[in-house]
Amino acid sequence: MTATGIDQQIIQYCVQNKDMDKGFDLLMNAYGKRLYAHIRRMVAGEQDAEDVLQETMINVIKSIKDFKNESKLYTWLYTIATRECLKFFKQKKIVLKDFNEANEWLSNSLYAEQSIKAETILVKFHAAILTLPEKQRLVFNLRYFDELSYEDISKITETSVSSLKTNYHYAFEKIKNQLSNAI
Amino acid sequence: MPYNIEEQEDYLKNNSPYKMNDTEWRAMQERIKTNVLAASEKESKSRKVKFTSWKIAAAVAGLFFIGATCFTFWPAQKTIQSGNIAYDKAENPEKQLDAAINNLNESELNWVHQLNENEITEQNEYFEN
Repeated sequence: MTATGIDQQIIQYCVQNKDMDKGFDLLMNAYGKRLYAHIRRMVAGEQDAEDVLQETMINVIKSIKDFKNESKLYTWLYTIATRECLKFFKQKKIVLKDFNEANEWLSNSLYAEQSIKAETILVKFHAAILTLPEKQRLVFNLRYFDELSYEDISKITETSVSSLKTNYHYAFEKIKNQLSNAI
Repeated sequence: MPYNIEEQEDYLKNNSPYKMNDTEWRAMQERIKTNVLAASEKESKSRKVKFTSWKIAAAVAGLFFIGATCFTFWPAQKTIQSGNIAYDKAENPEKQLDAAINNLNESELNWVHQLNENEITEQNEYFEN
């Protein structure tokens, strides 16, 4: 699969120092919001999401010259963003010792930013997503919100399609149960 | 009544508690852009420094290699040359002896044989004793 016209333009601009800012703007306009939403759904906190997006963009600019047109640009971008999210969790887990503590902390950062709206079903839905184990949360987000194919998710997460389907199924059931109990 | 996420899919997909307005988004984009471009410039500068250091290191290594090669081959060449001389010298007495033997007449040759035989007998007697 070759890169589309806009992808080619992004790559061309980003590899040249003089046009890098143009390339960055194009990249952000084409994929920035989607990447930010993906990162935000993974890390919840606004400042954390900004930091992770920034790290993602630094890595994208640094390695875009090595991008091979074997995959779609957005799959490659999602792969880098996902890797940065996982790196972020790894660092957090050193501070927050166990899984429950880490997930509680994620839900708390969501509620902390929602103030009065905190009890709406939308927030509860997202809080339920944040309580999922990392892999299930990742698969659920990429499939449910970004509507990526299992094949693309497989490339991003380097996991088999069958395992992804199982993870998605478990994640969906868990969220459904949590929401039923929450109402 | 339990909340059905399948029935509410459109609402849940199209709304987000993480939504950001355009002004906030643009401000964040600018902040990230500034930092990304600064990081990229820093990276390319350090790459240049690294490249320059690499070039200097390569030049020094190159000179060292050439020097080392010269100093290794020069004495080696001398050794080879002197080896050849030694080989020639070692070969020459044999040739000289051959030439000398060829130039001997019959009586002189008999005398040399007699001399060798006497020497061999003396040596045998010595070992027998």
